[in-house]
Amino acid sequence: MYKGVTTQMAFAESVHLSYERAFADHWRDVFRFALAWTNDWSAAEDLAQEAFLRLWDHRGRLDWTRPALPWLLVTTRRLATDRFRRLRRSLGTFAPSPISDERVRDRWLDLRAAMALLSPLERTALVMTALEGATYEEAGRVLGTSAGALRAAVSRARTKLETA
Amino acid sequence: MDRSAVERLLGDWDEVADRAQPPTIAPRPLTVHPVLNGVRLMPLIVAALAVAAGVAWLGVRTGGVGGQGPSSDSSLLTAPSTSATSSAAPGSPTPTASAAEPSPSATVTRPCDPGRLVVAITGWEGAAGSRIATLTLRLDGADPCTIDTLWRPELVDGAGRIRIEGDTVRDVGTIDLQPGETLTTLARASNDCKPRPTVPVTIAFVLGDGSRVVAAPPSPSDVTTAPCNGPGQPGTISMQPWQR
Repeated sequence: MYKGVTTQMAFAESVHLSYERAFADHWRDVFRFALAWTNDWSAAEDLAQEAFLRLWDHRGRLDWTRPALPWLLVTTRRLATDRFRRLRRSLGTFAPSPISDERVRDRWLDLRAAMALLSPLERTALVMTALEGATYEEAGRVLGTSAGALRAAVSRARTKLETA
Repeated sequence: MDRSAVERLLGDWDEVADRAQPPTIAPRPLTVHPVLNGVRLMPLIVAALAVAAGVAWLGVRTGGVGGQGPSSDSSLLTAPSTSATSSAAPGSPTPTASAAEPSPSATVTRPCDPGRLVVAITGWEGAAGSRIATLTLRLDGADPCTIDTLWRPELVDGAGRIRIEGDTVRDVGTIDLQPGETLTTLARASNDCKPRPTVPVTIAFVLGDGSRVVAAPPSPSDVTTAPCNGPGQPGTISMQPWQR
């Protein structure tokens, strides 16, 4: 799952270093996952931040010989679904980072409008399978649903976009 | 939108999402000194006000205690030494233990003398276009003291030249140090495109009062520096908060 991000942390000298490496290796993956789920740039940044804080909090209980990414993605999804509104309020002091490049910002606003046609599950399933290289089974484990339901969600997503 | 347009849309999403800028350092909860934590201070403030009101009421009723009581009790909000001195003023009643003894969370220790802080790099690790240094800090002194959890780091060479300068730190907490206690942290440096350094390369820290602490390098000939990722871009260096 996720080409180039199969970092095993078995040989890390310390948990701190493992955490640093997880951050260096997976922040983009977590952000992209959160962006697909929320369709909101600032919220995705907040969620990625919160997911890594959770990883830090759990650092003593995690098996660092296993890849950290699935744990981070499942945590991000749970944060996004269970306590998204509360999270936005609690992170209110973290100024959302605007997209500084105007052209990128314009492109994002167009993309956001197009992707808003899809549900969070459809959007994330589509991004994970079409862009991140995840299988339906892998995406299903992260998203808490079956491979069959994921396949149907991706199909619905494509149909919605094609007929828009 | 036809099938190829959907693929273009996804390609665009892929490209734009990759423009996100990760935070410069991995997130960690802020360490806030108990004395500076307003939530933990509230019970003390309430207790101090209650004691002050009680003593004032007693003063009015007896007419003998005068102004000494309230002023001594209000010292709960100040350093312990001040509290002990003022509450023991001549002629004033012996304060009760609960009024005179500050709770442990109200203890205020002095800032550490930078000359007593022994900082060393125990090793460097490579990570995604960066180098990460593991550092230790030991208090070489006889008295407990306090340091800021974040300092401004600099990557320096053996000639004292600054190769990469860190940003001014914000949201600084504090941490109490006991004599001989050791703290650890990580510092990440990236994009050092300057000419070959004079050995040894190490990390210096600028403290909040402007003083400077230089970490001992792992070896006198250590030349570890951050990889040059782009000569046109500035180098970066940042640190995690010191912690036990």
